[in-house]
Amino acid sequence: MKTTLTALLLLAGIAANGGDRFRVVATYDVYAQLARAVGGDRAEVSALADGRQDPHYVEAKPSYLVALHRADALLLNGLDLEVGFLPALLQQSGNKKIQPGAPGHVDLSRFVTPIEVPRAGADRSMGDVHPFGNPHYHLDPRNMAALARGMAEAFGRIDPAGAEGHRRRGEAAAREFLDLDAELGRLLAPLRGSPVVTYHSTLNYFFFRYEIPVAGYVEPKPGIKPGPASLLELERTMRERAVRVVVAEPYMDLKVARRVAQDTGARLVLVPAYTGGQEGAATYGEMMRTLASRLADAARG
Amino acid sequence: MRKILLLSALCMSLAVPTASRAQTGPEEIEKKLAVLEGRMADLAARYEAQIAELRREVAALRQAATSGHEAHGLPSAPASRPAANLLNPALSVIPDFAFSAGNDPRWRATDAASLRELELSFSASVDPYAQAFASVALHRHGHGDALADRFAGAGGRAEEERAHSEGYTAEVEEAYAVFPGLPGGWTLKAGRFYAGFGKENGQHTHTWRQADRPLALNAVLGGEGHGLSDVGIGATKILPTPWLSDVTVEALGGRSEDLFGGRRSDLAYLLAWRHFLDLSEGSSVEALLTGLGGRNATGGATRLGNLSLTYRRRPLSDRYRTFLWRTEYMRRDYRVHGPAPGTGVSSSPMRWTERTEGLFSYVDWQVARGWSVGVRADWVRYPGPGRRDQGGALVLTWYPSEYQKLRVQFQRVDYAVLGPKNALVVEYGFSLGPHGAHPY
Repeated sequence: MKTTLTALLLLAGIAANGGDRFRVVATYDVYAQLARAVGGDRAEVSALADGRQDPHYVEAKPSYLVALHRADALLLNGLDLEVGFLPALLQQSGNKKIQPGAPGHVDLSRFVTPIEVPRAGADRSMGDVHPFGNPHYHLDPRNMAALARGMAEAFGRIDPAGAEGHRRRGEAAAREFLDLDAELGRLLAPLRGSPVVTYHSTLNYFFFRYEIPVAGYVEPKPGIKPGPASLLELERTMRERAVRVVVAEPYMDLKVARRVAQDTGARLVLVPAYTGGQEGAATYGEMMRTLASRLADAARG
Repeated sequence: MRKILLLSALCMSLAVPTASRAQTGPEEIEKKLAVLEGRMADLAARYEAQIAELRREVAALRQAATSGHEAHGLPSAPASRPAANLLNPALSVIPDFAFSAGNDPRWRATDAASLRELELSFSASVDPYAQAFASVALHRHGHGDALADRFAGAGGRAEEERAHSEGYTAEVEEAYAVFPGLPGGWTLKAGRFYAGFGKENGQHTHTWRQADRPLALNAVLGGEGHGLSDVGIGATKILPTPWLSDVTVEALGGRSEDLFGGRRSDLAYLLAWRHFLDLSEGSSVEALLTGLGGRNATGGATRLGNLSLTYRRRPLSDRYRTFLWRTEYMRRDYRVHGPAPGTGVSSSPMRWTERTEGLFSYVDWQVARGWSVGVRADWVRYPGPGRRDQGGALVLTWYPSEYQKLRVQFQRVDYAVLGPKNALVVEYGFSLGPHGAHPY
């Protein structure tokens, strides 16, 4: 009887574990996709949020705990992007493997160099500012290359038996990102130096990488609702600098963005900034090409 | 740079012998190539790490050297925060002001305008094993919804006078450590914390969806109307179900005058079972069933139960349209072990049960960015025939940003003892400090 029970429990354990595969949970779909590429068959990957959600405002839904409770590794963006939901979830996850400090707690921001780090320290008079710098670093493909290699290294520690494979796949993914970077560079070369206005600082890594200056933001300050005075000021700047394009992610307050574009004769371009759940952004490559081609089309008029 | 040269030399020395022994057969070569590729990848990874490190240093140096870089309104200035501060706990200061008019004694207890509460909260990791949270609230004297009941009695006048006196009472709402990754998937909580009795009891003032707590909570849990918080230990375990289901057990010190006696040998025990189901991408339902029991001051048992249901809707792509509907039913059976009337000492004491029960149901609907409207229905039944309070509230809240709110609430309650009373309340609050995640 006892043997049968032990055998059953063992079987259940194996079934629950999906054989040798290790379980990875990524906060955002874009990192889940990378984890699938790097982890290959050895990783079972899921994501909490998808591209239709504003990454700043993901909710701490208890249903996320199901995946977190069973995870061997957690991939997070870091730089406080997940501060509104992840700490509460981690505390309730009942899983020591993914707590801060454990090898399974993989803060991806440590593989990149953030931009826009407020040096005087952060203050709420600056709006909903990110005190550790702009967290949307995935929009520079070179950062994704660094992430692929870093992730491979992290997976190698969690799954030493598959370390060699992780490294190989990580390297291949990194090369793809670098090729993509070159391709986007060629596509966006005509836009170099022509200013745009954007809603929030989400796309700044992209703009900095391809030398597209940001003339202003629809939000007067990060996370702050635009008012009549701030919009008037923005429209004045747009006319002065002959800004032809207003860029926004679909989850932003588009009514205001549309009005700004209309008032100044600019074009409003909606672009994906995160993968998953949207047209033209099924994969990272597709998303970046969509982003670049929509910008290029708008600039051409 | 020297390292890079060294590594390149190493690469060369690895490559040369492989080439000279190339005649040993294609399989051998493939194997060796694979080994080499692995080593190259290893080297590349190491380079990348070093380059990233250098880039970081260069960026830091560049930032230190240049001035006037503006990124979305962020002024540049030398870093001023001493390193020691980084280890300080995250501190939040959250005042809550209320201005009230009308004839409802629950609101008359405070001045027409008052700072009714100032919450100070601290959170940090204690060490690699535990995280801790502490919250101290300074309450305006006499603010507390249990007062309405007392005004009905003879002591009402005195209470009201005390309420109008200057001063604040400090209350430790919570001070606990959480151990999130224990063997067996348990999460342990120890210290003083809000009992997990339904969803609403654990809410701090600044997270309330209305200007006051639902009447049922104060009637059933008693005390000063600040919720049931006690010293104890709690443990939660997530069950292996496809949806989120967890159980929580708590042992509490039982120091709550209206519920439990609080003698050393008498603890109160709580058992809660929660289910959370996603109905679709943007909607969910949560059910929580709680039981709580212990020995009261008369020596009898106090038993409490709570059934809480919450429905939430928030389209994935539109965070400015959220909808929440919460309903809780709760009940308290207070078993009184009293002496027989007139004797004081008796071999067969009189025993009876006093039942207090209540229900609330509210909707909080965000209709546009920064704006939400709400409505709440309250119902409470006290022990004794016909003792029933019922009422409703209409709420309009404006959030200029995530850190401020201005709320207007009209409330009408028909009290069993006092009759119908009205109140118009304006609440204003803001929060300073990091906005930690709130319990969902």
